[in-house]
Amino acid sequence: MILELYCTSHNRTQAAGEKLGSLISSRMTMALHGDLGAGKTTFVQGIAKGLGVPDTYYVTSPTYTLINEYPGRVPLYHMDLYRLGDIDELEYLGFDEIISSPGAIVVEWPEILGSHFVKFDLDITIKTDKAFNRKIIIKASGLDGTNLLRELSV
Amino acid sequence: MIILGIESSCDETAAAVVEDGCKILSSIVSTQVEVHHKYGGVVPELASRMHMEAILPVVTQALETAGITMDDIDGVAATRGPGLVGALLVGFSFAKAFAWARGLPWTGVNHLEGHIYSVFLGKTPPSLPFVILLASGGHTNLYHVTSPNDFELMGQTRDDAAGEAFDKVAKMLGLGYPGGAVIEKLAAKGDPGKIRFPRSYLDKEGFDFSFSGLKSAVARHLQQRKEPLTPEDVADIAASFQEAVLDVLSFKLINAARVKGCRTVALAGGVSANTALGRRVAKDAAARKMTLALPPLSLCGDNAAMIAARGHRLIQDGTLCQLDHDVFSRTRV
Repeated sequence: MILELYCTSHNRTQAAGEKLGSLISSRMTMALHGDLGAGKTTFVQGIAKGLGVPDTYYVTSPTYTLINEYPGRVPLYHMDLYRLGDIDELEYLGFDEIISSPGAIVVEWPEILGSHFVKFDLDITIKTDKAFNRKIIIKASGLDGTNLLRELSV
Repeated sequence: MIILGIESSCDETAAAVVEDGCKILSSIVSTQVEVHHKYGGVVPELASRMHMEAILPVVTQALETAGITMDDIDGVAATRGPGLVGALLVGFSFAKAFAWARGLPWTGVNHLEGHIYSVFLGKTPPSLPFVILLASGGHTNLYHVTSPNDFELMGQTRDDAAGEAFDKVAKMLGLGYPGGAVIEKLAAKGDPGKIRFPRSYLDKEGFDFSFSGLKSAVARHLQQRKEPLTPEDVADIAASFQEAVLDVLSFKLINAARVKGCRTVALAGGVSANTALGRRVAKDAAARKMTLALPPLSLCGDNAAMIAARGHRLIQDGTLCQLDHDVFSRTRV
């Protein structure tokens, strides 16, 4: 199942993330793709809001920190694998523990994992057009992801 | 009092020997040492595994350069957090074992407080109280420092760190990643007024930062261009982007000092190596009759001398670590 959302502003991108976050009630793994400046952090800020992460936590880019963790109805893990040079380095992040934990797990730049390594419930891509409007394409696989996407599309 | 400092919170493994909290006898950072050469000169982007391989050679070289032996060390300080747990553990456990075996006092240092202490190692250390902007790839924090142990966090970034914005814009311009330093070089040749990128002050009275909007604005500018980029265009974009960052950083830093009634401002962290930032802040500070304190260029990035300097103060105050103490990944709120 595939859902496409069009967002014409920063606020709408965040609102789309918030709606998605509000529907998550248990473990959900999400791969997040998009060019630099496409709005990935903005989208995850929305997810955090929807998950009830307190406002006192700023949802910031994990590019340098590699992994950020936030408390919410379901704990949110926000990872960015952009700077990893080798798949072995996942061990240092505690990646295996996190990816199998009962949290909402967002992984940016997941390409290094290879398709065999993790089967994400949702595969999310943010694209921008010439006018810099954002198209968010969400693909679901498996029961949990498909159910969530059905609710989201209503 | 001679302190051995150790830093391993992120990409660098570093060791330093500092006397009395201010005199640097040696400061070694792993990327400068032989251990990397077996990778054919290519340093892994994230050198987490390297910490384990680098720690012993780096400490050994720090002692050699300082011209001392283990017997001369009076205390040990290692970064405790925030950072990557796997990386932090290497340096922290090393310090723990070293101090225990030698019967020395030892302490864990907050990496960000370490950066603040880097300005005390500069030519003109700031007098208290002062406001400091700590800007790096991972942080953009404003602190009001009122005593050697009191650091009030006044503001921080809500999305991207300043250094990260530099690196990502460099990537968009095809200058490689990370390329923050390249932007500065190119910016010197460009026209900073050519493109008016947005300045995100958020609440002008507040001290939080936001750079993701600026990053997106550069992406949008590049996407909407019709003609291919000439080298002059790239320089103009770099200069215009840098100007937007400097405007906000300098404004917030000076305004924070004004609100707190401080006569001294300071810069620290990797972004403080940007000389255009130093020049801008020095000029804006002088207009307000404030002075600017900078760390030595070699101590802008991650290093262990600043950890030793901060550790010296903690050890003198009796703020020590015990064997059952552990590292932490995030700054506790």
